[in-house]
Amino acid sequence: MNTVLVLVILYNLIVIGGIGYYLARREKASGQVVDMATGGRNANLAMFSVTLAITYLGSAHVYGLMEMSFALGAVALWFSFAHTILMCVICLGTGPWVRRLGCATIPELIGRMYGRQMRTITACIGAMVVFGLVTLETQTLGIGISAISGWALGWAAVVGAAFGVAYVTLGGIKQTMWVNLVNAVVMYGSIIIAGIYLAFVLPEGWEGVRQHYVANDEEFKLSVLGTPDLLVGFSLAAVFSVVFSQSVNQQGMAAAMSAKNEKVIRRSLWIAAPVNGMFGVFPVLCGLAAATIPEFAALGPKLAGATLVVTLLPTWLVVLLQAGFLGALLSTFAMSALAPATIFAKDIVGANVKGGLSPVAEKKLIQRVILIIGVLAALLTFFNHPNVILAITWLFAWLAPLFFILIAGLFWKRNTSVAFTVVISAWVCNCAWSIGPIKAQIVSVLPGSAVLENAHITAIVAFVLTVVLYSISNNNKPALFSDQYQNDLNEKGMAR
Amino acid sequence: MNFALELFLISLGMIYLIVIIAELLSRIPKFFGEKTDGSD
Repeated sequence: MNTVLVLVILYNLIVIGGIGYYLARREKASGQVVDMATGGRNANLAMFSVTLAITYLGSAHVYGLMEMSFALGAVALWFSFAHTILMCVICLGTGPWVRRLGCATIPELIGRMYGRQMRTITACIGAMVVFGLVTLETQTLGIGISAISGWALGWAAVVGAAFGVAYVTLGGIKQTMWVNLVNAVVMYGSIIIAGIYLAFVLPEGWEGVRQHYVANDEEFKLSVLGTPDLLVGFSLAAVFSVVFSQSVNQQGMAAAMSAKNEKVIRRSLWIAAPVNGMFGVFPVLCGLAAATIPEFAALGPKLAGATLVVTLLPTWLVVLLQAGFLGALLSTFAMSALAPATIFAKDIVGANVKGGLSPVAEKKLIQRVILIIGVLAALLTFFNHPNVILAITWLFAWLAPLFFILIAGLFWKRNTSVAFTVVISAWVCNCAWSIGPIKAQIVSVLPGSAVLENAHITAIVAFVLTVVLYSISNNNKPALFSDQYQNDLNEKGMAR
Repeated sequence: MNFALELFLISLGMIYLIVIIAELLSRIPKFFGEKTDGSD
């Protein structure tokens, strides 16, 4: 086993084990069972901001950005800017809304607006989507460990899943938040040092990288604005799919629900946005630099950036970088595994048990479900390695319709039949667009639709249906944040 | 200016520009929902 792998594993054992032990002792001393999904709803500004920022730093940021910038140039940073816009929507919109209503899951919120059946339907789809994300995060954990160790991807994924399960099972979201805080410091410290270090070890420094692109008439690769085609084809598409699908994703909402109050969520934008957004600069620089050095460029976009880091930097810095990267991947895995387990315990079991589950029973159930999810994800990843970016985009498409019925139900009006029709129609269209021959038939009639991804289809269908059906529907209930609903609540309170 | 530093500063600027625009938009009543005093 090589030194880098041993040190990275040792780092994670100390951080995860140490914090898990400390939290377990504190819980025992206080004699209270901390809710795994919400952590007692007392996360402060630092813990909440960092957790929100790191939850959305996954494989696509670490390895995907190196690959994208190698091919497209600095315009790849729009993937990071799309996440900055996402942080704005979560911190100023969806996050405070779910916190204000005191929900623990998105299906619970949907259920409060549209009834129990809609809660069960969205819980089933939500759990399926997030489980899909867990399997992909398992694969990327495997890629990270495999890159350091040289092990086969399948076995590396099994080891990654074991670490990921340990990361979250010991203490739920509270454990994850503390580990995130430590990992954020290590990760940012190491990428800043690595960025400066690379200036001295790159053959002609960062200026040489610029000269290479200027000399090869590819100056557009140095600009975040790229070319008009790239700006529309890549940047706009990234903003579109990231914002609509991720702003109602259970992982981000789980963080919001654990915040101390709405003020913490709103203020955290000023920390979460730069912590999340600035991470992308380092992988983009690595991808850009790797493409200019023939030795690395020959390896192709997937491996060039990662190999440059391992080859040019000293071992201690590689260990710190890999520990930080692995921390980011583990955090996304942990929040992804916690999400379906929470949905299962609260929305599928808890909601259908008279009186709900006791805190102890719920905690045990969540821990067991996380374990089962980890084993299943490891098993699936051992045998299958689908394209991560394509699979993630497909999974996001299922969540887009929830965004529109959620906004309508909070601010416009509520109607269960309309909400049901919107989500089912969007999901049927999503399935149809996923079947090659059907998609080919539609494209032959509407050639312009060939560029549309599944997330675009579900978002367009859901948006149009939400606007049209709500405009013509009768017997609507008032929106949850409307004055009429608040007045109704006050009247009911006074009547009692 | 160093190319890496330039990209770093441009990104930081873009991110804070997005955040400031979002903060300003959120102050328009009903755009991002009512503002609360956080005392929930």
